[in-house]
Amino acid sequence: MTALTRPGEVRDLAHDLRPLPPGVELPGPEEHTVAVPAPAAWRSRTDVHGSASWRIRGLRWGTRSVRPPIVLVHGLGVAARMVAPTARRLATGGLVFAPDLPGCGRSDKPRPVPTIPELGEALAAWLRASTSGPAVLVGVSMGSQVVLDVALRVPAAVHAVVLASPIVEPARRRWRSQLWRWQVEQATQSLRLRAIQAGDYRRAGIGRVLRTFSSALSERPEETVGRLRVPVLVCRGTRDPLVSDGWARDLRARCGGDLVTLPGVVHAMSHDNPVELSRVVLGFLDRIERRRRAGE
Amino acid sequence: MGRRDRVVVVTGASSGIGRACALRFAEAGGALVVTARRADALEELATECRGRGADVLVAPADVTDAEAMDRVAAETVARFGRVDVWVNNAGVNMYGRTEEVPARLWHRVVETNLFGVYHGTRAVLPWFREQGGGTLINVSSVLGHTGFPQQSAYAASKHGIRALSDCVRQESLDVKGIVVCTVLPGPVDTPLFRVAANWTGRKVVPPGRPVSADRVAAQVLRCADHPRREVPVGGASRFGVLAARIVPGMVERAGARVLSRQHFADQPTAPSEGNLFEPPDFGARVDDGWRAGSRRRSRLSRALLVTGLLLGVAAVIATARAGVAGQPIVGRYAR
Repeated sequence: MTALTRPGEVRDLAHDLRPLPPGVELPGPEEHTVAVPAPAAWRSRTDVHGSASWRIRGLRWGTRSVRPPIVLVHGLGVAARMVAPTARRLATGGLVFAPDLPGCGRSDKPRPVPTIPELGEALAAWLRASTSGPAVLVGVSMGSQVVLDVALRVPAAVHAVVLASPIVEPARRRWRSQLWRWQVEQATQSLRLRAIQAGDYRRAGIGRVLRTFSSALSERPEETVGRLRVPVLVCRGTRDPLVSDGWARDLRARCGGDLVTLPGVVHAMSHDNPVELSRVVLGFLDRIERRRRAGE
Repeated sequence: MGRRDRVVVVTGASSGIGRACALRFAEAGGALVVTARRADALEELATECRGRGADVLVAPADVTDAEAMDRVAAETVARFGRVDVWVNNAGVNMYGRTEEVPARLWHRVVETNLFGVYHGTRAVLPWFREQGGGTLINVSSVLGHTGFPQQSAYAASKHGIRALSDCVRQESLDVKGIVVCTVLPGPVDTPLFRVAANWTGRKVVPPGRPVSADRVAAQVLRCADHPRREVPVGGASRFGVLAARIVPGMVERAGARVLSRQHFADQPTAPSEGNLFEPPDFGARVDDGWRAGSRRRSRLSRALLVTGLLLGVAAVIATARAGVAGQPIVGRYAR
C-alpha cells in the first residue's frame, strides 16, 4: 500500500464496462481526414502511375484516453454513420475512430474498385497515421474481413480485434446463397438504417458494392484468423440470417478467442443494437486487462 | 424483445423456487444467468437448462456481497449485451424466539434476504436505466404482509423487501421501461424448511398444504411477460394477504394460535445454524417432498373421511331400522 500512484495504475481502478450515468451527454463527432498512399497492388492494376494517394475521411469522437483507441470499420457499401451509435457510446471512455473505407461515404472513390486486401493495406496506413499506440479494431460484417487483413499487416499497431457479424461462411460462399439471405437480413433492419444505407449505396454506386462483395466472397477468413496473435472476440446476434452459430463457433475455435452470442441482436448491430455491442466490446477489453494482469 | 431473446438473471438458483424459475425460463429459451453460493449445484443446473435450449452463464456469488452482485450484473451484460429480467430470489429462514436466537443469526437472515435483494437491485438498476428498461422481480412472502411467531427475522426482511420494491418502483418512474414486481408465495415445498436455522428445539414442518415451487416459478414468468405490482401465489397466500389487510389484528392472533401449532412437529431437534453461513451439501433440488407427504396424508384423511361417512350412514340406517322396527310394519302397508 503506497500513496504514490504511477500513471499506469489509473487503469487498476477504472473498469471500461460501466453503466452510463443517467443524463450523461454522449460526445459528438468531429471530421477526421487522412491521406494515405494508394496500395502497390492497386497501382499496378491501374493506368495512373506515380503519386496516387487516397483521402480517407471519417469521424472521430473524444480526445485522449487511458484505454487504447477503438477503430470501428463499417460493412459493405455503407459508411461511418452505420457505426456512429456504437461509437458515441464507446467514446464516453476514450478515443473512437470510424473511417469511411476508400470508395464509400465521403472518402475518395478509386477506380478500379479496390479489393479487400487493398482496402486492408490502405487502412493499415491510415491506422499508422491516425493513432500513436495500439488500437482496438472492431469490424462489422464485411468490415471484419478488412480488420483481419489490417491486424495481420501491422500486428504491432493492434491491441485486440473484434469480429462483429463476420461474413462470409464457407458453406455459403456463392452469390445465390448470399443474395436471398441478404434480402432476409434487410427485413431485420430498422427504417432509419435503411435510409442511411440507401444514401450510402447511392454514394458508393451499386457497381462498386457488387464488385467489393465479389472480392469479399473470395476471402478466406477462417484460414487467416488463426494467424492472429492478438486477443479476438467473435460476436454474433441471434437474429442474424447471414452468420450461423456454427460458423461463429468455428471462427472462435480457430483463433482461440472469445465468442459472445447476443440474444435478439441483428446483423447490423453497430447501428441497431449499439447498447449491446458497446457493452460486449468494453467487457472484452476488461477481460483482456484482467488476463494480462493475471499473467504478469 | 420476445421470450426467445430474453436475458434473465436468477439469484439463489441452486435450489427451490430459484431452481424452478431457472428451469422454466430455460424452457422459454433465450439467455440465462444463474447465481448462488454453490458452484457445483449451479453447473448441474446449467447442464439441465442448456438441454432445454437456453444459453447459460454460471456466476457463483453470495448475495450478501454487494461487489459480487455488481460483478454478476457486469458479467451478464459483457456476455449477453443486455439484462431484461432480474429475479431477486435468494433467501434463508430462521426459527426461534426473537430474544432467544443469537443476534448474529438474526443479522445474517436480514443480510441475506433484505440486503441481498438490495444488492441485486442496486447492481442491475444502472444497466436497466442505460438500456431504457427491464423487469425486476423480487420474491417476498405472505409474511411480507403479516407477522409470524418465531420468524421475526424472516418476516421483517420480507416486509422490507416489499417496501424496497415499492420505493424502487417510485424511483424508476422516470424510465418507462423499468417495472418492479413483488411475488408473495405462501408455504412452498422447497428445501427451505429443512435447511433453515432452528432455535426452537422442535422440528419445522410447513404449515398447511405447501404449493409447488413450479407454481411460484410460473407466476414469476407471468410477471416477466405481464408485470404486476404484487402477486400472491396460491389460494392460502391470496387469502392471507387479503385478510391481513382487512383484519390485521385477527390474522395476527390466528397466526399465533393456530398456525404456530401446525408449523412445528413434536420432534425435538438440537439448535442449528442451518444454511445461513455455509451452504448445505444437500438439497440442490426444487422440492423437498413435503407435497408428496401431504398428498399421502390427505389420501389417508380422505380414506378416514369416507370410512367415517360410511359408518355414519350405516349408523343412521341402523337407527332408522331400529326405530321403524318398533312400529307395526304391517299396519303401514295395510293402510
